[in-house]
Amino acid sequence: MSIPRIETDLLIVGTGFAGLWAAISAREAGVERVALVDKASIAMSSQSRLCAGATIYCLPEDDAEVWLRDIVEANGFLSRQPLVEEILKTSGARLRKLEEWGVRYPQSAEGGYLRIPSRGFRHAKMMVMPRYRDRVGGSAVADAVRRRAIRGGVSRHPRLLISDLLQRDGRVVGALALDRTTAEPRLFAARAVLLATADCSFRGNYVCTDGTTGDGFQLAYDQGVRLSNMEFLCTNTGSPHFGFEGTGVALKWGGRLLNAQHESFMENYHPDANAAEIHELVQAMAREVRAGKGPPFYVEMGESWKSRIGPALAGIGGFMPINLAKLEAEGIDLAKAQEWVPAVQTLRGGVRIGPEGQSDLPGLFAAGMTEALDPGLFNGWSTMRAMGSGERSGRGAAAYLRDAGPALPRDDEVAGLVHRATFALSRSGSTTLHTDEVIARMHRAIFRPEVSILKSTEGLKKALADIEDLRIAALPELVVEDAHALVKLHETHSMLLSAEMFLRASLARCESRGSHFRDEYPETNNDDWLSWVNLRRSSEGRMEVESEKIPLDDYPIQPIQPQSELQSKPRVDGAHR
Amino acid sequence: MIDTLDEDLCTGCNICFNICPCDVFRPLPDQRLVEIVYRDDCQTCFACELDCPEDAISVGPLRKPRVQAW
Repeated sequence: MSIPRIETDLLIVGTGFAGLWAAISAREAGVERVALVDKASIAMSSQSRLCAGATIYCLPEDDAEVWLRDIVEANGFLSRQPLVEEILKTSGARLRKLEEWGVRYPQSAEGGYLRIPSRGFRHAKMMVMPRYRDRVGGSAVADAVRRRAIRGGVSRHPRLLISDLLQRDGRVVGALALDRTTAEPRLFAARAVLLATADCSFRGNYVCTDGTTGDGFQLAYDQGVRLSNMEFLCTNTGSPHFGFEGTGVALKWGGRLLNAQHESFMENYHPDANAAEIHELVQAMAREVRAGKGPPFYVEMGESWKSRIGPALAGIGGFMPINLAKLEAEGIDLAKAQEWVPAVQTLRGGVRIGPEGQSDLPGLFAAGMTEALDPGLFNGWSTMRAMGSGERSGRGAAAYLRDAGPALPRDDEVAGLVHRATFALSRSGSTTLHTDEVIARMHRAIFRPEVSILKSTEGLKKALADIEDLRIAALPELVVEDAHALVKLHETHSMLLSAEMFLRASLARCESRGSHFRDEYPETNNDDWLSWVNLRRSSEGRMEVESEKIPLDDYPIQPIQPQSELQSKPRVDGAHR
Repeated sequence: MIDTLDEDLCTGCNICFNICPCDVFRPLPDQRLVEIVYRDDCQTCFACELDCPEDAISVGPLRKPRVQAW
């Protein structure tokens, strides 16, 4: 079989902010051939384009040191500090570039940029409502960056799912792709590959995250590189019936979480009550369940819905303005109590990277949410991370390519991988099991309070057994009738692997920190756990777990307060007082 | 979830097919139309409705029920 072959120097997988900035900086650093590949459209279907586009920028008048401390503390000291510092310090220059390309951020009445606090940070501020041409929000910035990347000269390959990376002589030499319409294979012979495929949301209950299925995590894992921070799964909240982004803002501006008895309960758990961090809200809900006070839960926005919350969310861009208009037309009044549930949003781990965005494997780079930079979820920081890390890793890949040899994938290996990647299409199964059913079973295994919110050892082990069973027993039985279903099969495979990484890393971290709460280890333990949990595939195919001490002595920010004051933590006895 | 695609308004420009993050559409080039084939995979992001130059697409705000934590 002859497989269409595309030769390139740098293959960038994923075309959100991270992939696009990587393309721009790689081209500027002299990489001749840059190929952009995406399982959907090039730069028109990403999370970046769907988000509201709030972004933290550290400007010359800001104290970068203070902002760095802010971010490092909010991330429980697990940040890769030199990389965070670099992203902060280069952010002003990226803002200037964006403005040169036509992006505009609102100015305040007093002059200067309009900047607002970001939930979770004391100092770092974000800018909102970016505009470009007739667009506002993430799509405005994404369109401007896309235009720039394309004008810089890149080849574009939409609607291709990368199923496998190719290695030769200990370095990456390309990737195998499947066409999403025809399932036809395509071979990229690439001297370097950069993964910018976002994170994993498990196609769960959070809104507009169905495209983030851990694809890059799986590609990296299969090559034996280490991934970190996989125990940090951010569970947000949302409606079970419709999409809603901005619960955090709503709860800060007068909205309240209510339990089954319609009582407000957050004041029993945290000094910041409804304005507490996302994971505090969800953990409190799970404790209310234990106390028999839910489900159901509700969010009631009251008077502030009309006066403040609604107008703010209707102006931010992204999908929310049209969504709110449609909800209103449907007769849904957010001033009144609406049922609200935990909604798994994002697995914050990623490929363990070095200072230039390189993974353990020569020629393989990562950026954006696909790299492990820090484990928290904060407004405006993910966007900044994506852009800054993309710019850095694109440059890192360019430096690597100066000395890298040619890409010569082995034909026999490629043929074997094509067979494996498309085998399900030719399988005549006796069952009628579809991916949607496997995904639902995966949800039932991990979307449980004792697995993803207040993690118990027993809950995690049970979920691990369920996930392994799905991977080993159910996945090979799946019925795949066309290319669309084949892509979903690959995505499901990536999600199951991501779930296994989440569970194993969660079992390994025997303490609580940020969104990772272990029932048996409710305290943050800085004596033993200022470490990263790393996972990798052993040569025998097992998932290996190691902990790696964070080199805090070499980092600018150290924990200086007594351990008890490092984080505002939930009062674990809250529900019983 | 995606509701309707108005065949009288659709010109088969394929913008929705191209931008849909969830691969809901398939082109029908012979009829200069686009078809909703994988409706259940719609994530209700409204991208197709917002970007359709002919206002041919309507997405409803309610989503397919999904598995909850409890």
